[in-house]
Amino acid sequence: MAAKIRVTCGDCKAELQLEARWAGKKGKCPNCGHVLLIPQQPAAPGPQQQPAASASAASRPPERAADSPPAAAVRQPPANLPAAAPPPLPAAPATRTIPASSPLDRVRKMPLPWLLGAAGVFVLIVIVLLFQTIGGNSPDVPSEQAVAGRGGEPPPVSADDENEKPAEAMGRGAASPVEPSPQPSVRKPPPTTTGTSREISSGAARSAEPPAPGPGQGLVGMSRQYDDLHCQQIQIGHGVRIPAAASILEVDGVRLPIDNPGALAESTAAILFLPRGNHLVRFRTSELPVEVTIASDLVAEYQAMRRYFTIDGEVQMVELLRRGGRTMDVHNAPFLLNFVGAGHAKEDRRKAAERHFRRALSINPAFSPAHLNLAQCLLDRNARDDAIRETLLADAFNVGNVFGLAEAIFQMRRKLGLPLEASQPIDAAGLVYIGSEQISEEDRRLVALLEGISKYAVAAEERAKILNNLAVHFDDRKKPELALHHFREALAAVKYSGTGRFAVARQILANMSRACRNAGFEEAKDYDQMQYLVTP
Amino acid sequence: MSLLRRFPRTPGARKRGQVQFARRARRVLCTKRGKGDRYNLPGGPAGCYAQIVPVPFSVLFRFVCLLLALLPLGAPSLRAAELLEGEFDSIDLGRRLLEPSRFPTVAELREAVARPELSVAVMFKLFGGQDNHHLPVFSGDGLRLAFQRSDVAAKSSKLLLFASLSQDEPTMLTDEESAYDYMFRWTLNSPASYSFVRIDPGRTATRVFFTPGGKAPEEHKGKSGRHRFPASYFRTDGIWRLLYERDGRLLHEAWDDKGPIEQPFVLAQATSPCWSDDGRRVLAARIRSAESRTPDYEIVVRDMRSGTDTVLSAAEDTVVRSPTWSPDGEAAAFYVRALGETAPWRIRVVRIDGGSSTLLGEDVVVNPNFESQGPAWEPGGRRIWFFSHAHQREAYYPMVAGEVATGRLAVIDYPNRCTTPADLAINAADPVPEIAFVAHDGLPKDLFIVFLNHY
Repeated sequence: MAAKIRVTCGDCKAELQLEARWAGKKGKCPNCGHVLLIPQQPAAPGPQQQPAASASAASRPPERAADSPPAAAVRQPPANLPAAAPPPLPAAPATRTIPASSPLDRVRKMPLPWLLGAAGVFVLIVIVLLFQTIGGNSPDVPSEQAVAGRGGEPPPVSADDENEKPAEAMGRGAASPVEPSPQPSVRKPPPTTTGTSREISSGAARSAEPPAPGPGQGLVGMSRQYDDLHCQQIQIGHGVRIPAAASILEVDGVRLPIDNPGALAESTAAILFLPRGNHLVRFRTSELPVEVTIASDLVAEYQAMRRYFTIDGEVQMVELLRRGGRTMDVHNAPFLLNFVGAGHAKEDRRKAAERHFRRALSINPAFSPAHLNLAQCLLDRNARDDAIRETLLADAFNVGNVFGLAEAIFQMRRKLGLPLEASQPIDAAGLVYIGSEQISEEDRRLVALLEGISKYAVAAEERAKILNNLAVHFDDRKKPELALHHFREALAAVKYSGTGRFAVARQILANMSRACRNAGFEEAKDYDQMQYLVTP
Repeated sequence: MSLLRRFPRTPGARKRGQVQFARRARRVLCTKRGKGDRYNLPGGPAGCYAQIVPVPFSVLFRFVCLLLALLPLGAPSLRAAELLEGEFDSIDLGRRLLEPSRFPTVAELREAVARPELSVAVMFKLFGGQDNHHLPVFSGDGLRLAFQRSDVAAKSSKLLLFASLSQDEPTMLTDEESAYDYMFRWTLNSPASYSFVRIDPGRTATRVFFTPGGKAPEEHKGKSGRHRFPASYFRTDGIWRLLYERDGRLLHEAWDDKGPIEQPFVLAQATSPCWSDDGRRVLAARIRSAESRTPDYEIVVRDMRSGTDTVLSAAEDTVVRSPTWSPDGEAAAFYVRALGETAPWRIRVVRIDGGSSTLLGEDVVVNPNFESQGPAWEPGGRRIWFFSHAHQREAYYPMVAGEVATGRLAVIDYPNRCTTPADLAINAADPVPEIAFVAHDGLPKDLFIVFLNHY
């Protein structure tokens, strides 16, 4: 007969008799369900027997009795205990001080809720890691690796791009009486200087110097002629920067019909163009005029530029796009954008053309050809009042027929039924060319907040990220023109920064492409191609 | 620490009314706790009782540590869920953010700008060090910031400049140990130009230095005496104009690239000049009586064409300080206090066209050692911002915005880890409040920037 162990339940005081093979294990009292620790030795009969769950037993480690029979000797489980070992339960007070023999045992003895909690935490970790691996900040933005995986080569320019139709009168017919050159032979090595000279005594004008290009700024094998930097130099050589403190614009004693011209100075390159010769430009009534000397004709320079970008009347969109890519689409000269707009207009993509003319004017609101082209776009879509305003501005800024636009403006005035000479002053403070979309007060605050905070970003790439997020806000709000404007601001932040700018710029360009695609803008493919042009 | 366990007395009792039982049991255990105590609760499920199960502290500690360690892993994924398509996460401003602790997402900023009440959108420390800093002042275009680093006891003062706000660290205007630089003033209409005053202990002279267009500072030569309170103005025709106080008299001079346009001449017995935006008028504190033993000033507007003065404040037995123009040039604000060093400073606002002055702020915090450029107007000119002892809560001072038209005060809180703030300056080029001030974050006074959600 197998040895028996007598156990008294610590809860209901019921006396139990168990086989010796259960010694050292736990079990539930069949009477009350209390978990018992079965002692190693057969319990002493009678009143000397210690309760299994007593404090003294609980504090002692279990000791296997030398004379206890091996578990294998027991053939039948006790009738008064479950046939199988009880499932592990949370440690009872009597058992929690028993040291586990191994970590596995320790785990086994952990409470079930804890095990479930630990398993849950583990699953959560796995999910988080998977999310971070698969997901990212911008799920739809192709990663740098993905771009590199495509070979890092620009995609072939589509046939449509190659065969842009001739730019018609929007820019050319109005601005240039000169026929386009049939050959691209006018291309010449990029000049080391602007080719024009100027003497300006004003300190304000000196501040218009363009920044030096950063390392890796250009594209290898591409001509720098009429790129953004060259265009800036031409611009500076043929005009004078409008200071923020300007209250009037007066050239050689004639006041231009522009009120609050100081507001124009908020633009990137607010430069008033002047014809060849010496001029006296006054910006405040109480102050002396500034002496400005322009050494060459802008008309000739502008026509040469037009010849360069047109062959047999077709706008060289590929050349223009490459120059856009070189600058990360951040222009500081309006010439190129005006040409691109003319190219779109020729293809009857009027909305895209209008956007480009607006962009040109947001850079320099004194750029007369873009005013005239925009007036034509506005007239085409029956926005007559706006067309009148743009025509008057084109006239006002065509000082001394500096662009040779007098005849075209005259025709436009006739078309609009305007008086041919006098015009009311236009308030420059109300001129906005960033986009035609309305902006709410909350949007205005968000713009101010993010632009303001971005100034403090130590790294240019981080500043670009902040401005990108602002653009993403407008994209999310279905205001693509504003989104694109702020994307360009983000690109401008990294335009001259270190080598880390390329990865950020590509992501921003990808965002621009997506924003264009969402809005149905034709420029989407331009930004797709620019991603490949923005490379070290 | 202990956990509650529930035990079914009979099989199947565990599920019955378990939730209600557990709630009741917890209520009881809240008041009676003890290891191993058991409770047969009246009204509980049949056959169940509750028991207190002690949990070893080490286990609990490990569990808490594990959760804390996992938090950073979980946070990005939670944030990623609220990011817009194409939005960058984990932006590192390169500054120590105080509020919030990481750069906010667009969604969070949208919520902030939609909030009707004024609140902090972002706050960070721009610069700190071993010394106290004073008097931050933004340039006219809002892209530059200058401030002062001083140790009054050691008679040391240097000017520091963020020529671009993206600079990691400011540049010091001079490395000369002996130079004592202060009274920094930006030039009107030329954002990169400024002037300041330098005391050379060796020569015991106080001179004005001027920097045109961000070039190296140059001493304004040919002057003797004590020169202070420079105020420069750049005209669109390339002429520089400079006002400064020399030994109690306000002088004016003008020059351009070719040389002097006007030789220095005395405008008045005055100090603290301030140009109007159009350069036609000057606000100054004029000495009322040269015989007075105490500093007795009045605020006047000098028309630079006619040379006439208009007195704006004529209250006697007061000390006035730091007059400044409102953004529209129609009013002026200045500090004023009664005679006596301990008298509290106030802010008064007066209209240029002749109205009486109105009291806007009481017990205003004014730098006791260095004179600022005056009360801080917000760009629209609706309110003036300051710190006030009247609103302090122990060492914490909220920002106060006083409405000029009504005198109504708004109190704006910010993270109160910054104590005893002073020298509040507003970036007038920003349409939302972009405020710089100095405050203690530890022993020295550091420079902080706070952006609020709107004006």
